[in-house]
Amino acid sequence: MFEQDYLLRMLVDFAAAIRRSIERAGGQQDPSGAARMLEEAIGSAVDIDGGVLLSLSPESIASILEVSGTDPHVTEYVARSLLLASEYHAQAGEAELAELRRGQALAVADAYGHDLSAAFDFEADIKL
Amino acid sequence: MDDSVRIEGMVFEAAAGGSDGARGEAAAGADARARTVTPELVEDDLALDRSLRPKRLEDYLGQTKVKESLAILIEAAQARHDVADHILFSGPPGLGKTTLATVVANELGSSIRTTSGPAIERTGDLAAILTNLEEGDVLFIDEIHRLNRMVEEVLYPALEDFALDIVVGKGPAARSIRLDIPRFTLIGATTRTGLLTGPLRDRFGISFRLQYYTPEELSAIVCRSAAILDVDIDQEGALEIARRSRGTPRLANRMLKRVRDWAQVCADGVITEDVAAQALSFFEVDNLGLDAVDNRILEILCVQFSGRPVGLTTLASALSEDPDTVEDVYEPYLMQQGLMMRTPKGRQATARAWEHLGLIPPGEGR
Repeated sequence: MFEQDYLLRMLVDFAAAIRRSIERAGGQQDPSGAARMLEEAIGSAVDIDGGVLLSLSPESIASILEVSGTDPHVTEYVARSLLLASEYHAQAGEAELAELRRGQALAVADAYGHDLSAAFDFEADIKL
Repeated sequence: MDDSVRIEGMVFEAAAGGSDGARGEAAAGADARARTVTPELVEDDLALDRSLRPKRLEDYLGQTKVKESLAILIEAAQARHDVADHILFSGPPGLGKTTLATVVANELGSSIRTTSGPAIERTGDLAAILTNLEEGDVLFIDEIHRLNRMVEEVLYPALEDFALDIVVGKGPAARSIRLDIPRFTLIGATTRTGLLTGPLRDRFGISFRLQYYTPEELSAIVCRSAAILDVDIDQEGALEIARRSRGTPRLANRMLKRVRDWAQVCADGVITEDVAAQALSFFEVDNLGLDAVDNRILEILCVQFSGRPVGLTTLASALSEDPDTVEDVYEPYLMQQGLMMRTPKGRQATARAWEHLGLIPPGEGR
């Protein structure tokens, strides 16, 4: 029960961060800032120093999430956030960083069997 | 960052040269770097360095003992189908530490990833580098003495166990997760071995101190470079450049370039002993490899202060230079050449300095 509450709160926070990042990228025309916001949210969600985690190679980031026993619900958010961050970096003209984030998103999705091409409704998911 | 290397979305500083301690770098300043005889890497050297750097051990001239040891190390590692031990190269700038690292990687048939101590600011930067290595790669860290302590701690398990420890969670719930990384060979380069921490130094399987080159070795390097650059030079011309190059290949190559230009414009394009001597005198590099500032220091000591000991700040003021620059940039070579000594009362010219300036030391003239 506690674990379920904890997970739910984590996902709500995550979804809120994603929403704020979408506003920042669209409304404030700051894709770079939006990407940073998402990356911070990822670090908080998995409880690993975001600076270290997001520096890892795609395979390593997937391994770390697996070894640390991160919940699959969270990893799906992580993968989708990484993909979104990749788009923001691309918009900001940060091509190499965009490529890295995309690689990381796909590696995490692959490790956990998430289908990133499928549409995903964050709010519906949080209501469970 | 002019000469940078990109690895997986991150930019790392160029490995080549520029190696000196933080204080030395700050002190050296733009003036010191503008000298023809500075052993530090200057922008003008970059293209030259790339074209002249030997690729294989057999092409590398000088440092015979180091080459022999490296050849054994490489052959043994290859016979075991294992990665080579971690290697540390130390020595003054311009002696070929970066070149040797590249040569080792080539001999091992491995890719080399290049970065430098100050470029790895955070542990995440090192994690990115380590997890992006391929099995058997060579990781070259220039100015390794400038790695920060946090980063160094992350490097230890990577060197010993080829593993990366990552902390998950916070407070009492924090735990460490060990991530295996590809086996690799670290090659570290430093100009200041004394600034390396003991634990880091101990993790290198083998350590080499590069020595200054003899004029004969440098002459061979000048001839090789001249052949690559298609410069017409005779043996005596090469030896003249070598004698004035302060035992440093980087300087010898730089001087070759300057002398080539001079010979092209002021002579018939062929570098002979006479042409080399005239050209280097034109660029104010004398027969001991001293430039105008070096000679000015000796003049201040011998003439202005009549051979009496002079304090560092007084000497620096007389020279209109920063004391740190005098101490880090100018003094070492003058002392190596036995032209100047440090005494408890201050800096003092030696008998050789008086002789070099063509002056008679006080006392002897009477």
